[in-house]
Amino acid sequence: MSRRHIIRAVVTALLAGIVLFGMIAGSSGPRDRVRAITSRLKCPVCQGESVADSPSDVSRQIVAQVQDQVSQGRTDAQIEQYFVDRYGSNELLDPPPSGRNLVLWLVPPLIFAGGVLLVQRKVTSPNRRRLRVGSVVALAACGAVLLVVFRDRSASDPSSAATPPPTTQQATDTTTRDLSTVTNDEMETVISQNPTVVGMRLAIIKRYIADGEIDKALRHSAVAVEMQSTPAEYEQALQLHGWVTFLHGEPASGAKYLRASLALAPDDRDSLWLLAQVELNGLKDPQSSLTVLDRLIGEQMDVGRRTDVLSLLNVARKQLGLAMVDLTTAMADAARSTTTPAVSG
Amino acid sequence: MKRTSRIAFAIVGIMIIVGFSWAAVRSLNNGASITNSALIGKPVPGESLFDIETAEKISLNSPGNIVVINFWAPWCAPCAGEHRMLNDAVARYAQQNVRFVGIAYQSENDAVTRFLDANGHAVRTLLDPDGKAAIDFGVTGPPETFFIDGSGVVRARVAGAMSTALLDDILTKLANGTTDLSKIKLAS
Repeated sequence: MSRRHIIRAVVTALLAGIVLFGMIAGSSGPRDRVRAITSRLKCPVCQGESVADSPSDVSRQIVAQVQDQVSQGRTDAQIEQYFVDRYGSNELLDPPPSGRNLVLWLVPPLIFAGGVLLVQRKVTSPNRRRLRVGSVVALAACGAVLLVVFRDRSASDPSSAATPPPTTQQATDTTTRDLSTVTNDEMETVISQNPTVVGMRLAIIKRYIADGEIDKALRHSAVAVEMQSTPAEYEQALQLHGWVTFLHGEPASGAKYLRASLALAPDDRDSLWLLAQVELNGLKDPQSSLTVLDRLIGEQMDVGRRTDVLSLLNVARKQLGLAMVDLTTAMADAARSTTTPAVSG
Repeated sequence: MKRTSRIAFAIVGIMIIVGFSWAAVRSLNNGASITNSALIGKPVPGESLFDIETAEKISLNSPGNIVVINFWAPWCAPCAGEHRMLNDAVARYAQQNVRFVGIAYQSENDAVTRFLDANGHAVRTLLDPDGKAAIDFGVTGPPETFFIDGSGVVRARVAGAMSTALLDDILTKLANGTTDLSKIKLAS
């Protein structure tokens, strides 16, 4: 090999090394993270443009949202999932390399490899050896790029987060801290390290319900009802699992768990309220819903909840052909209350 | 190149052209239609917004009621006609458990007020100054309408200005307990 060839090979290797180092090391400052995340999100009102590059109002609002979430300590994967949950998987400019999308990632290198083999067969023997070496180098580079992509993806996946797992002391600290200051990611980590911590599992189920992440809530609630816990925790686990299974589209199963929860705590207002909704809206059984609501209406509750209960009571009564209850007083109370009223009129 | 290869290439080429043409024709259909949304089957986002007229903070969840949430903007041409149609619907559905709410999308308050003066105030109008609600609903451009059932679950999203027939059809099916509207033929 001549000196010129050696210099060329060294320069090529150096350049490739610099590119790979940049891809692997990257930069992880908050501003860089916001830029990196918004570069991966598609502007919802543009044609194939990223949120980072788009000057549209929607994109600027999404950037502000990402900044907020980065400052709250959420991971890249959690932030991307937040937008995927609202805009769908098309919100990501690069589809995740899993499931059917895997084909999209594998087809280009496979076509490239096929092309290289096809050209090799056509080339005459003096050039074949050199071409073969070139092909191997090109395919190896292709493989390296794919590896880096997959590595980046799995690193941003919360299930394999690059942050070290907490020690037992850290886990205890987190469980004894005010839960409102703990991020979902921290809670998930603590739960995976301490699978018998019932309280935190119940807390994250509530968060996922509030965030509309029903699949994630269901994953935890299904475990919670099988765990050894105190009677109060078990009753709450049954209640939450009942509501989550209803939201997941299984009203019969939801009602079953809510009734089981009520068997342990017959006067639990939350369980009664949830069961009344499942009976009416899920099982289409206004009579059973009315029975539950009649029990609930005698309990103490704030004005907002009472208004909701009376509204649902009237829906059930209307479906049964019964006279409606006068809501005027409750509505007037609700308007005076500081509780946030629901949409009306 | 062998004859069979040429035929295979020709078939693949024709399939690609037909596929692109079909997609182009579909994209030209600008009428309102039920469209896919990542929110379908999930609880309505829990954001509370301010009513432009009463300054009350209002939750979008109204248990026991079907809620029709319409994102509109004063600068959106099809929104004016749709808003008048929804104002009429408020009166038609007054005795039923249906609530209508409009959310002003990326709009100045003055422009919103002028729009309401011109097109009617019957639909309760909420403000979304930082665009958080629009992001929570995955709105890409007005008009977009979301239908929430009595248990607070998002059941349908319509992109484009709705006709009265489409609105009535969706509300009838929701009142009858239909939860999956994507597989049902609706009025256009």
